[in-house]
Parts: sequence; C-alpha cells; structure tokens
Amino acid sequence: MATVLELQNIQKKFKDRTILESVNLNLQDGEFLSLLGPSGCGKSTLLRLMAGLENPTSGTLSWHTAEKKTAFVFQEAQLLSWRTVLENVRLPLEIQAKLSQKEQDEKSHFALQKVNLTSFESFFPHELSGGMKMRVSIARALSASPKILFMDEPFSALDEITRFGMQKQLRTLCEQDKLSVVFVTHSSYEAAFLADRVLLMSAQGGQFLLNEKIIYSQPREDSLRLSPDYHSHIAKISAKMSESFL
Amino acid sequence: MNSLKKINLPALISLLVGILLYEAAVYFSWIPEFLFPAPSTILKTLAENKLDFVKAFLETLQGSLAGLGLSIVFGIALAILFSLSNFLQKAILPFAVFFQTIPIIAIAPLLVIYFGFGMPTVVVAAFIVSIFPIIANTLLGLESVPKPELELFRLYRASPLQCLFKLKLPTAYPSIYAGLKVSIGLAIIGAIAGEFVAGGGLGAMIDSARTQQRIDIVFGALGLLALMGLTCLTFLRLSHKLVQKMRPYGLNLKD
Repeated sequence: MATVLELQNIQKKFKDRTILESVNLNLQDGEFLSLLGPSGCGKSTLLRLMAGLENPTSGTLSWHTAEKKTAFVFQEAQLLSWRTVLENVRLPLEIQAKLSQKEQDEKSHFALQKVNLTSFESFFPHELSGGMKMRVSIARALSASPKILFMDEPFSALDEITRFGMQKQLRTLCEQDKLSVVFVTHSSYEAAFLADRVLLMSAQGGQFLLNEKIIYSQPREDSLRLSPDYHSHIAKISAKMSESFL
Repeated sequence: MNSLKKINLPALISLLVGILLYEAAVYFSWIPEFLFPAPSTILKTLAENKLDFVKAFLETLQGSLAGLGLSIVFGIALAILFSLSNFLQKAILPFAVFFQTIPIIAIAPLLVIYFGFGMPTVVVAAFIVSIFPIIANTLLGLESVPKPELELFRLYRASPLQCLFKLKLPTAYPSIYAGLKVSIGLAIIGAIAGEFVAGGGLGAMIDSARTQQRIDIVFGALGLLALMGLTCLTFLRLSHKLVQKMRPYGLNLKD
C-alpha cells in the first residue's frame, strides 16, 4: 500500500504547553486508522493538524497524492439550520462552484443515497434525529468525493443502537469508496470495530503506546462484536491502557 | 389566523377596564376634564378631525419608515464592514456608541439648520436614532458564528464573500431581527422629535395643540402613535414568522 500522508517529527505547542512532542505517522491509501486516547491527550489536535485546521509548531507534514481531496466530520453534525438536508449536502459543491446546479443536486442526491436519507431531502435539520443529522453530515463530507476523511468523535453524542448502526454503515461506505480515514475516538470498542489499525495515544505528549493492526476472519457485521477475534484486540488495547493510565 | 387566537386576553381586559375607569373618573369629576379629556371626547376629536389626523399619521409613518429603511441599509452595511475590518471597527464604532448617547431631541434643532423644514429632517432624525441597534445587533450576529462552521467553510476554501452570504449573514438573521424590533420604536421616536422642530406629522400636531391647550388633540395623537408602533411591530413579527417558516434561521432564538 502506498502512503498518502506522512508526518515527521511533528510538534505542537499551545503557548507554553506542549500537546504533541515529535509525532511520526504514516497514513496508507485506503486505510482506516483510528486514533484512540483519553480526553486531552491531543488526538483531536493531531487530527486537526492532518486536516490543515492547525499548523504544527515544528516538523513536516507531506502529502503523497496528486490532489488533496479531504473532508472533515465534526463531533456535532454542524448543519446549517436554514438549509434543507439536500442544500446542506450540496454546500461543498456550491462553494467549489465547478459543477452546474443540476450536477450538484445529482451528486448530493447520490451522497444522500449512500446514507439512506433520500426521502428526507427537503427536511430541515431541526426535523431530524441526532443520528440522521450525523448521517447528513457524513453525506455532506462525501458529496465532493473526497479521498481522505477526517472524523473527530462523530458518534460520541449518539445512543448505542444508533452508534452501532452508524459504525457498520461507515465501514461499508469507506470500503465502497476506497476512502482513507482517520477516526478519533475514546472508545476502544469503537476503534477495534472500525479500524484497520488502532493507534493508542499517551495521556501526555502524544506518544503512541500501541500500534495495533486489526485483522478479522469475518466481515464487520454486528456479529463481530461477539467474536473472540474482536475481544482479543480489545483485551490487548485495554491492557496497554490500564498499564499506562493507572 | 393563528395569531388572532393568541391575543392576550388578560391585557385586553385590563385595557378595557382602564378605559372604563378613566371615562367614569372624568364623568364623576374625580379628575379635571380640562387636563384629562375623557376617552369619549378623544374619540370625538379624532372623528371630527379625521382628515388631519390621517394625514399627520401617514406623514409620521412615512418619515419613520424612511429613516428605518436607511438604518437597515447603512446599519447592515456598516456592520459587515466592521466585521471584515477590525481596524475600522475600532476606529469608528466607539464614536457611534458615543454619538447615540446624545439625545435626539437635543440634536434636532441642528438638523433643521442643515436639512431645512419638513421631511428630510424628520427622516434624518429617525435614521440617527434607529441605526445603532441595527449596527450593534448585526455585528453581534455576524461574530457569533460557531467556530466549527467557520472551519468547515475554511476547509472548503470558501471565499470571504461566500462565507459572508452563505454563513455569516444567515447566522446573524435572528440578531438582525432583534435589532429591528428595537429600531422600529426608536425610528418613530426620532421622527416625532424631528417633527417637533421641523414640522409635519403627528409631532407638529402635538406641538401646535399644546400651544392652543387642545389636550384632546394631544391625547388623540398619542393614541395614534401607540397604534403606529403596535402595527409596525405586529407587521414585523408576522413577516418574521413567515421567514422562519420558509427558512428556519437560528432556531434556538424565540420570536
């Protein structure tokens, strides 16, 4: 697999506080990478650095792709209340202004199809449930056909049933579209279900305590949550977690 | 319509009771009629001078709305300018704050000198008092865009204009509406102050009635002014509801 994004000796300080100290990281093409760690460990900062929302204090961040097609999904859906579902999804295309109105609508419609929300196109965000809002947010991220998706704890505000459904749907989507994903979470269960690789971050300084490749003998369906494969990964992550944080 | 059902019944009752008490107080000579004309007398005066009152009402309304219209255009434009340039905001906004502390009634005589008798002075007076809440509220709204939404637009490499029209102005809508609610009343105050010195409308009517000791005319004009304010506010509220129905801007803000 080819590397799409490479981080070398990335350091990030906010005033005098060092959040990340010399981070080295490669993101592979088509890889689902999960950044796992306790609150305040700098995982969101690292994600924002990769997405270009923050600049590193020092170190280099190099892209090995012809064009940088990325999208970001925030913790909250961040939909614009005055726009319908379709108009929210169309926003990135509208700003790019490369396609005709009709093509923009078609692409947005297609993105909504991927998250099974086409029948809600003319609804406003306040008429949707939390899970549906997040699906619209994901459709918006997908509408401009990105290659890399950055996600910052997108499911943390959802109830468990919705969250499980969303995780399954996200994983399927990423495989269909061959996306590379960086997914920040504080749940080892979520990380192990979704990711091809889990990076466990230390509470301070942003060091990686564990670089766990996740491989299963079965597809990522709900039944996976009961499998020994899944639990052995979680056991390994949990052991490392308690070792370093307690 | 829905808003008719929601008429505040207790307020309507206390209004009617108040008018009846007032009428009775005058009728039984508890209060002097030459200082406090009875509601029935005021109504009679209004009916007798119908044409004058209607003409004056329309003049004042016209002056107020023209001033308010200018405030909306220039107020929003200035707020946008201030939100784009921190320097301009710091250079100009403090003076706008300072300027609005000077009572309009004290500025009005100057305005007559600059703009002459009649409508222009009235419009400028209404404009001066009603622009500040629009600037302040619009600016507040433009600067209250949540950080993630700004970042979203940054990630999509939106131009400043796209950011303004697709994000900041829609976000500011509830604040602009709040500013308008205040400004509408202020515009009427400004127009009356302008009319006191420049003539025309209900303001001049009140002023000349005062010199003739026609307190019934003063009361009639006051009643019409209250009606004007209420009508404008109701119109504004209904338009707001209509807008909200089509485009739910800032749903967390009520009415």
